[in-house]
Amino acid sequence: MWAELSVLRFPQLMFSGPNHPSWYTRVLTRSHVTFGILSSDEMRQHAHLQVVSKNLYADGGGRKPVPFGVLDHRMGTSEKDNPCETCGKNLAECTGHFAYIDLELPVFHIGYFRTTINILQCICKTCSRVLLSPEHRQTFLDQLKKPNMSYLQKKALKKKIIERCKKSTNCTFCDTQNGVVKKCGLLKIVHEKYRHTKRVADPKVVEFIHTFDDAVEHNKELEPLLPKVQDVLNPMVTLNLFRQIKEEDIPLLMMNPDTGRPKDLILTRILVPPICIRPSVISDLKSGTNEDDITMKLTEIIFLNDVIMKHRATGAKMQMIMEDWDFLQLQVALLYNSDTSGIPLHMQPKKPMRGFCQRLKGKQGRFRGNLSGKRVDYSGRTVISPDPNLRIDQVVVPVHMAKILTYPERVNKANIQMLKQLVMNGCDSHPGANFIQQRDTNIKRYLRYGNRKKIAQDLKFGDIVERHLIDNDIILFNRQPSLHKLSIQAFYAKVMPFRTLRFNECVCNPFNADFDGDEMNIHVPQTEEAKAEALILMGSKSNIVTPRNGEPLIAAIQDFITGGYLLTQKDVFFDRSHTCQLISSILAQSDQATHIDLPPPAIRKPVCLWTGKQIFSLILRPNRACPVKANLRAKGKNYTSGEDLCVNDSFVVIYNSELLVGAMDKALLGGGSKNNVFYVLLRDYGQEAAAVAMSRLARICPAFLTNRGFSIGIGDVTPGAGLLKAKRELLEEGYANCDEFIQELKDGRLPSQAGCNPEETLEAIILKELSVIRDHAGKACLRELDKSNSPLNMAICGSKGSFINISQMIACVGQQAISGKRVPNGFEDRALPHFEKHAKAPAARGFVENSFYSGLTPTEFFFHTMGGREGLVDTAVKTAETGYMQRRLVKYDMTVRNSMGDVVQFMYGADGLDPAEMEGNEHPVDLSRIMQHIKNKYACPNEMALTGSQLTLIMDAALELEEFKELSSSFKDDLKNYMYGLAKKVTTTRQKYNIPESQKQKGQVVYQLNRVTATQVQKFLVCCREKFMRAKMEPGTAVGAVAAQSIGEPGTQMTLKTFHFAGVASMNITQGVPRIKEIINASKNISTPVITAELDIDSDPEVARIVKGCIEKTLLGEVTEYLEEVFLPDDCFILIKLDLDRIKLLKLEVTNDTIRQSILESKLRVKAQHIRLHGDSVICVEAVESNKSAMYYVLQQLKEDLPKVIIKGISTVSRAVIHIDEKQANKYKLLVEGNNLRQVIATRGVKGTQTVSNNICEVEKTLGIEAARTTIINEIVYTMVNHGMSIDIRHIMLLAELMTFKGEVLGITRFGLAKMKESVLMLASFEKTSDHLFEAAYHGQRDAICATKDPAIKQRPLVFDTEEFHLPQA
Amino acid sequence: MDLILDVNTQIYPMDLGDKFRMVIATSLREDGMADDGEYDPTDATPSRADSFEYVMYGKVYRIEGDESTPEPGSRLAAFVSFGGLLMRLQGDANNLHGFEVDTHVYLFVKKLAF
Repeated sequence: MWAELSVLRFPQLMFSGPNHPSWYTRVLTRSHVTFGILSSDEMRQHAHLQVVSKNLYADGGGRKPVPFGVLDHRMGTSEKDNPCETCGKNLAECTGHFAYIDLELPVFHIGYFRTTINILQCICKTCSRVLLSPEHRQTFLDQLKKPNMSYLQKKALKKKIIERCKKSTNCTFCDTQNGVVKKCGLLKIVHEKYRHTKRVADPKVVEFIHTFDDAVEHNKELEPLLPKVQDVLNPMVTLNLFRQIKEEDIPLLMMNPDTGRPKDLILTRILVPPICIRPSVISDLKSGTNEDDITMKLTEIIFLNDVIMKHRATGAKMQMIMEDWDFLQLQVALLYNSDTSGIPLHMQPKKPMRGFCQRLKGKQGRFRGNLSGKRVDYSGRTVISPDPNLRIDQVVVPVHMAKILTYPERVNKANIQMLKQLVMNGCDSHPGANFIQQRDTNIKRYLRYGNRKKIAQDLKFGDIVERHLIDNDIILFNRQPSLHKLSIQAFYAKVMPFRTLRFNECVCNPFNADFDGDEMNIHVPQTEEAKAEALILMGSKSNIVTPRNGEPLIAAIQDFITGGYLLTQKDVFFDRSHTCQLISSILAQSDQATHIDLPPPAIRKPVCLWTGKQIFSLILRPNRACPVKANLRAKGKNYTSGEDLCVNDSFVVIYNSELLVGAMDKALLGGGSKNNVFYVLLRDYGQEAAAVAMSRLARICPAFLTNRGFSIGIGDVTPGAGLLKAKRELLEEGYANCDEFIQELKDGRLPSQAGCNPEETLEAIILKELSVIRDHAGKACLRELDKSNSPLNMAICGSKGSFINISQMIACVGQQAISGKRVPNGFEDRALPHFEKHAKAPAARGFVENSFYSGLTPTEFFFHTMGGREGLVDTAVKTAETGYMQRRLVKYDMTVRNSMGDVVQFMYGADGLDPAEMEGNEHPVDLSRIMQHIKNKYACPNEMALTGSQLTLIMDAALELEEFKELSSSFKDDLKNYMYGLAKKVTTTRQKYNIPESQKQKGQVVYQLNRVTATQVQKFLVCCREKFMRAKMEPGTAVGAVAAQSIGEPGTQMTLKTFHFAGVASMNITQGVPRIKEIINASKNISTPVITAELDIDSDPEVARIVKGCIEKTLLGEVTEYLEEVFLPDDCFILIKLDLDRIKLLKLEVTNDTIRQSILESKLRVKAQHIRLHGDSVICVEAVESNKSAMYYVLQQLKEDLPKVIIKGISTVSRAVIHIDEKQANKYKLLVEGNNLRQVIATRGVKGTQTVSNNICEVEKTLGIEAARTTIINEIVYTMVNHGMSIDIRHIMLLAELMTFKGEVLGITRFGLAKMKESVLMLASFEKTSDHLFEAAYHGQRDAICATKDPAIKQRPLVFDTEEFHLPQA
Repeated sequence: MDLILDVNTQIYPMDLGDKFRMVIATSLREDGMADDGEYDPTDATPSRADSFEYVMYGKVYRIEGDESTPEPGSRLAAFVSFGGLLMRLQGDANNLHGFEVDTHVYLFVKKLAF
């Protein structure tokens, strides 16, 4: 199995790594892999010797392996000083050689046990012919002749043949009886040849049974056992049967005679793998050696072999030999798969071992641990710490690390001087070098020893110097868990003293890093190509935005936001000296020599003062020569109303890089918002501009904060008198309300909410009441606290903490909820023993009225820890679950085509645009922002304003130009619509102000309104075109992986808010990770299926109620007044009295006649003549005595079952709720809980064309695959939006498309995946590793190497991304 | 005319009911010639500022019509930002003559005695 992996790299056949004897792979070319089964002859050919000795080492010390033992050095070596005796190479070079063991008796191969049974089921147990009638045989053979049958088709055909064979009992060739073949205990197969079910037994069976007549006569006990006669098919018998199988029958068993035959499935000989994969380690602690599990198992097998041989030679009891055989069978099975279950107690191995399957399986197994992912050199790991003085594309590498991590630099004209110096410095002083490789000799020399001066002198062009890491080398920086592509980014190294890796805090977000002891990894790319590619594709500057939705991820955080906010307050003024001092903090790093123009002071008189906003503007544009002119109008976090004149100064206007209005806060500086200042810079002026500005902010904000002072103390969380009073009032009012509700419940006055019982209603009301208290307390805090309060400032600007956090610290911790409810009764009818039983008061069920400042009472503290624990558990569970979900999602790959070349999507995202480049809301350009930007940037003061008609004219003409041909029609439409709208606005303003359409002269202020000039329109169109072209997806991008990460990564953040009450009270829909999991698994039975049914007449609640009655399952018992048994002298029946009022109230369209029909149709088996109707409301059902039970019991049964008869509605629907649209008051629709979309659509009154279900499988069944695709998209979007996650629709479309492109909905599970994938290696690297391999070997599967995963396993470059294309070498 | 103006009252206290004279000009120079907008602390030449108590320097960044009413009218609003201190001057189009977006202006204030 491992053979081909190395073979692919080296043409000669070499073996490396662990080996499995009976699957081997013949590699014909480098283009594909063939799986097959080794026959015993082939095993001998592969092997170098036969192993016969059970001893490992020879007696008499010296630790010499016994010749012909399992550690014979002819199989390779595991010791440094002993070379291999076959090839003479040492440990590093010898790849090992095989040996074999001949088994005394054949045994089953555990990996093929199932297939062995299948073959036995297919063949005649007498003549070994396949049990197919001639005509079936011919049809199957015809099907088999089809060339290019895919792996999946083969598997399906095999299933069909087995099914067919199982049905035939008589062999058409030798005319003998065949029975059922089945597994019987561990590794035993029986053939129930003589079992019969037919009344009239087959004459042959009868004959066979008659042979026992004599025996039965003497031993009566035999008789009942006779029908259970079985044939044991032991390995010997099976082997003989398999040997008999005719050549022509082999294809019918779906085997390939070239790669394996049925007889090879039974082991008569096993391969002994080379020693290097099962090294013998000399133990330091105790005398002797530690042997690998496989070595031990092999010696045991040899030992058993010897025992069997001895017993056979001495003629021991048959029973003993059988016992030894069983044991041998088990040991061989354990060698392959030690996970074998069902081992009898006395045979159970004492300690668990690792079989071959275990070596392949799982995360640490060969596939996932060594082939898909490998250990690397040139990497390091240490603790991280922050450093705001760094640029955002720099990482500080400690000198200690820099001296170990090297880069092989080739000597050339430009660097020879530097490299000579480095060589002279040697390994121990920092900019030095560790190794040198001379071009002509190709020998690597260590620079610690030897004459470095001389080596440096001899340095020639073309030599390679492995020099230390120095400043501005490219390194890759990574933090686990690597959930998305931004978890590993390329940075410039900066070598500095001390021991931590340091980087700018702005880059914390993509890594999700903090500095509480986190560690991170660095990797050093070793070639120029790798460096260049890493810098362009993975550079931190190139990854400021996330491909998930195009929002910036690298952005200001925490102190930078606080600093920015405080600096840009309206009341921040500096005199000249302070201004200059603050500005000068910008001057560092790349800005060291930047010229800064001090702007004119905003206040000239009485004193010259500069405002904070003026200083902030310098971050964006330090001098007038700087071309960066950012423009932005955006709402801040605390925006109220009135645009520029917002009372909180939270509407930001940036005009040509000048901050004119508004205080910067999280919405403007932080990540996750497209209104971010740096995002605007990035989009309009490129990554460098954004990166530099961010670095400036990172320097100026801490400088300002340290000068101004920003700290937190006990005073900040001490409530004032006003706050305490407000809190007390709130609590009193809330408690009083709760008490009243409790009292109402006791008195039975509490009106129930829809679908809830009174208890649940009370809980819901109280929970709402109590959560309001905390919110109000939070608002009170906001009102009462001083403007200078640090926590408050942080909450306002969004840098850290929320109002709820403040309220918890100062006022009231609030209700502790456990899975969305109040604390449950964990202590006989109460939450804690401190309370009375059945206590419902707020304090008894987890309401914490104290604040963290005032301190919690013991009970409150306990409740609080309960809430805290839930959060912890939730996080832990979700992390594991999302990790697994991610793993499965990432399993698909490639672009609109998958790795097999099948088309998944014709056009990525229907428009071929890159989600990372979307500026507007899933549109490539935010037109109005660009228009504003262009208008500001190109003021064109000397041009005349255009009229509306002129605008449209220019627009239409421009779009006809050649350059605009490339734009997609939908984008053109967007542009047109926007411009037409603008033109209309211009026209209406002109009319409104009653001014001539066209401007004749300059200076008239009214023309300033909606002023657009010809140049501006032209620049605008050019800009839009450029942005659109840039947004096109690059060919070869691994969109699948990006989409998977984009959907999977937010999953980790979906903690805690698992369940969400959607819309209607009492109707909840599974949300969060569980729901996403359901969708991508394409689960048949989802936990909360809901059908949303629009109504034909949606304005009338009466109609809605009627339709609801038709859909909702109504039981007879629900509409009966009473139901009683009546015993009359001549008659017994059940009398049902219908509650007509209730029927009328519920708008049920039922009469006693339809109910009679329903009863007849139900499973009660009541006949029509036994139901009598009396009047409108009485139905009598007679009980009829049957031969099985007495009349009384029939009556009782009826009484039991009649109330459960469904008289109206759909049986799969548990209930339907009338939903009133929140936006339109008079619009009703039905929410139906349950399945059966088809029937709901068919219900009269339901608007079938607009009725949808959230159950994907059902939508597929009812409406088809396209509808299912749409449903998948809608459901994922809905779930994500509910959790406040925005994901570009293109990612979700791709996922939906992938799940549906085969024409049926396939979940991303190992079953669905198996239907999508055909490559064995890809399947094996996913789940059920060994099963897939065994199966492939059985079929003799030939796999072309084309997928993404395969090449990685075989250490070849992948064929997408930058490898998709090749430049002809110049 | 309608005026909203942010004033640094710490250095120039103003109270409700105070009467003041306000001038908006594009230049500090007495002769009204355009200046280059450079700040020169050493400049001691006489300027318009000498006769006022409170002077600010800012930028006209927005001129807007009255969007709230659909009926024809001629009320306009000009927005000026003096390094974040805002001014909105609302009034008839004729009174706002000369205001142009993206130009710098000076604002002079002097309190008047009763």
